Amino acid sequence: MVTLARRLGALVLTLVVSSFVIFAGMYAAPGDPLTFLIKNPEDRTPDRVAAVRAAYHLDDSFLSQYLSWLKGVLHGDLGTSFVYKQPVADLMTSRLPVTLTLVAMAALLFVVVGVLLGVVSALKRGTTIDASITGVTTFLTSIPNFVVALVLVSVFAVQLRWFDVSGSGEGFGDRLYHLTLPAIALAIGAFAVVSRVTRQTMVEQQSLEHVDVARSFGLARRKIVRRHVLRNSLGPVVTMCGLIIASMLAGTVVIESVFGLNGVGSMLVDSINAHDFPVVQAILLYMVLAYMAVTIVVDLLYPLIDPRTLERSGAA
Amino acid sequence: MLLEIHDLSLSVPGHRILRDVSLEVGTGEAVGLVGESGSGKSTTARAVLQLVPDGAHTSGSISVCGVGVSPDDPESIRAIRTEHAAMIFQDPRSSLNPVRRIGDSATERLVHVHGVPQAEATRRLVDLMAEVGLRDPGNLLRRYPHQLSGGMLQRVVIAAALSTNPKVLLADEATSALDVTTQAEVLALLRRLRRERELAVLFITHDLLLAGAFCDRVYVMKDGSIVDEQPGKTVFVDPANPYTKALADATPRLPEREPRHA
Amino acid sequence: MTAIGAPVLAAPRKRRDWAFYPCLAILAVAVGAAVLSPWITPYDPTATSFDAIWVPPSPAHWLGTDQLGRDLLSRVVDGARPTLLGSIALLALATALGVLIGLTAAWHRGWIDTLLARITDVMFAFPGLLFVIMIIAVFDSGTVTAVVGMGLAYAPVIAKFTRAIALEELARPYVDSYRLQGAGGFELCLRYVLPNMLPTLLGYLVVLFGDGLMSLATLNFLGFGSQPPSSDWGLMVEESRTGVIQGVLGPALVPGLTIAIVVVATNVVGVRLSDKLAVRR
Repeated sequence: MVTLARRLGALVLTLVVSSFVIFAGMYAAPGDPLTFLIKNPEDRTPDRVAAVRAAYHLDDSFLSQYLSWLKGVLHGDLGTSFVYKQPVADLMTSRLPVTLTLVAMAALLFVVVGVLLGVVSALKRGTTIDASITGVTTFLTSIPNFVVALVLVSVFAVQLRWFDVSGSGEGFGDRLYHLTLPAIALAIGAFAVVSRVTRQTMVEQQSLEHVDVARSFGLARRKIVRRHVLRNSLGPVVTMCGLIIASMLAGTVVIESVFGLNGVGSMLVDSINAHDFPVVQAILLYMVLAYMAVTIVVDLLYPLIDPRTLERSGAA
Repeated sequence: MLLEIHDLSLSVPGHRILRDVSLEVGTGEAVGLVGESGSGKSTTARAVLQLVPDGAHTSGSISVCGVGVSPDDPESIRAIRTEHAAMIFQDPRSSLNPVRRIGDSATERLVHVHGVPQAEATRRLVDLMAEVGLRDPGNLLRRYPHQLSGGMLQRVVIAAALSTNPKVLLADEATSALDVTTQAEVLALLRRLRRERELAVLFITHDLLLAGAFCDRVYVMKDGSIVDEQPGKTVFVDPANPYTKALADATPRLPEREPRHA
Repeated sequence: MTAIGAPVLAAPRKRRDWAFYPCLAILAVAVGAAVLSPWITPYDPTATSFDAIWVPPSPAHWLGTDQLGRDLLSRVVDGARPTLLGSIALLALATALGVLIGLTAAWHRGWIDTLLARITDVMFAFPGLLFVIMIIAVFDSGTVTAVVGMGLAYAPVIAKFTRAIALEELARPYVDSYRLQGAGGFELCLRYVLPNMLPTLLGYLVVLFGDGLMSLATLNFLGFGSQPPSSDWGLMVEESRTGVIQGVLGPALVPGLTIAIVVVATNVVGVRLSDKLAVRR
């Protein structure tokens, strides 16, 4: 219980500090927001300017602007977009599902494939299969993900025409269809790490004594692998997968850009180019929050995987 | 003889680990196998269960309860491991899977090797745990290994080992990781079980004193061969073999007590 | 996906001696290209030719041409300079900051250490790429902004690593003996401790160099760093996008695979260096 409170406290602290840094960053951006808010210089009549300044609180002190933004955030009001003139919260809710679905699909892929490859590597340790898996996955990771994405587009969308070149699709099934290639592109980068962690952990676990004990009373090899090696490897593997998912939630920018997906990542790029600061702030804040949320969930799940952690943290 | 080993030699590429090792243990007998680290005593015990290093080459014969064990005969290996012999390892904390409950690990033999339903297996374990002197077995079975002391864990391990009713018990430094008091308790337990179940116990240890006290007979091993065999009681009383004598002399003992001056 | 966290060093199961020298050669070629590019490119990398758009590899153009008819071989050789320079600059900045912070944290311990640990934790939670993107948002796209931003983003990673090895190094007896002789902290660290840490640091930095190269290329791909007509490799990939849609993959693969090969080479060399130099322990 104490650790949970402490973790939540750390989360809140990090969020507050991050929000401060984000807001300060946007505030410090050179250039007058007015130039973006009122595009047409002819419209900048004193009345108009005063009205806009009041609406966006541009005359308040830095601290009061920050605090009012923060207060708004806590109430679900993320401000208004300079560009779309709509509540940022609405923009977020319209774009988030694409990103979340993308990450979910990629996660399913890299967890299943990555762990599978790792298990095979561990069981076939020292053979060419093991070396090939390591070699291929490492090479795939070394290719920049935007290159991988382009190759996938070229082969599967342009040449084979199995998929569309871009777009996120309408409706659930169509959405899944459109996100398949992007999800693969996103997942490829994670195969190497996941399979390596799985392999390494399993190899370590295989040399532990309870495995020998199980052999000594005649437990079938398949059951030994499942009940003693794989089960015990879950901890580090789950932690790694959690970290990857956490950073993926913030890292879809490139993939969304290549595949023309209208997710949160591409919105970030667009709003940066358009100097739409309220949107940039909101997205950055979401990314920090998402990262922390996933890491906390993993931490909370961990005692279910390894009961010894409760003992260590003194929360037995 | 419940356990017979004849001229067992074992080598891995480039290194001979065991050299013509011969020993036997009869029903109800406790036989010690003593030696320094690297003498091959653990390897010998493990060879009985065919737990040999990868790429090992063995020659000689091993038979347990009259059944010959051979690396070429998987059925014999299965029979030995699942029915006739059981091994107790040195560190009970590493012998049990740390992420599974004690009940899960302790009934693993019955449930996953012999196909006994879980409820029945648990019931048998509860009885066995009472037999080994553990109180409140039901509660213990629900706990995790890290929550129990070393002595209790070793008792659980012994109970689990007995669940398949083996006739031969291989204790590989089974008390070495325990503190002295607990060690004595576990030894007393093993002694009682040996008597009640007429087990053949092969007791591996580096501690000559312990072997002499606990075992009927003691074999001494050095560099992969048996160099001496003695009755337990006489192993400290002027052993003829120089190595055994050296081991005996090396054992730390309390000095003779000085007579108290009034 | 190269999220900026500490890069996971691929642990070689056995000595991959056979890979080390070829990879070192690859890096040498890359550096050579960067240094000699003005003299060795077969064509002017900026020379456009609308007759020769998207020409496949041929005797005239060994690697083909891009969407503006520019020779890809010349462009990729020319691009070695901005790409490698950018990565080196980013690494230099990150190392200078990171080593300073890490050493200070290891030396002083106490509240400075805790404070720095907290700050680096916050920065870790903030995925590196995002941090840089935020800096870009504030200061606008550009090569310098991108490099400086990335350098700042990598500093915590280096700081953490430096702190760890510094702690080990500071525990060695010679440190105490110098301290007793009255050596000041600054002098001690600079003259004795740091040089001893360099071997371990070096291997790690080589791997980080590859990692940074990839991250910088990603930024450039997104259009946040180098701008046209730079032949930075990441930017080259971005420019190849129109071609990819039309089925022309060459202009994307040439810079893309070059990045991949150089990154793999830095990984192999860096890990091998770490192994070799850490033998002292």
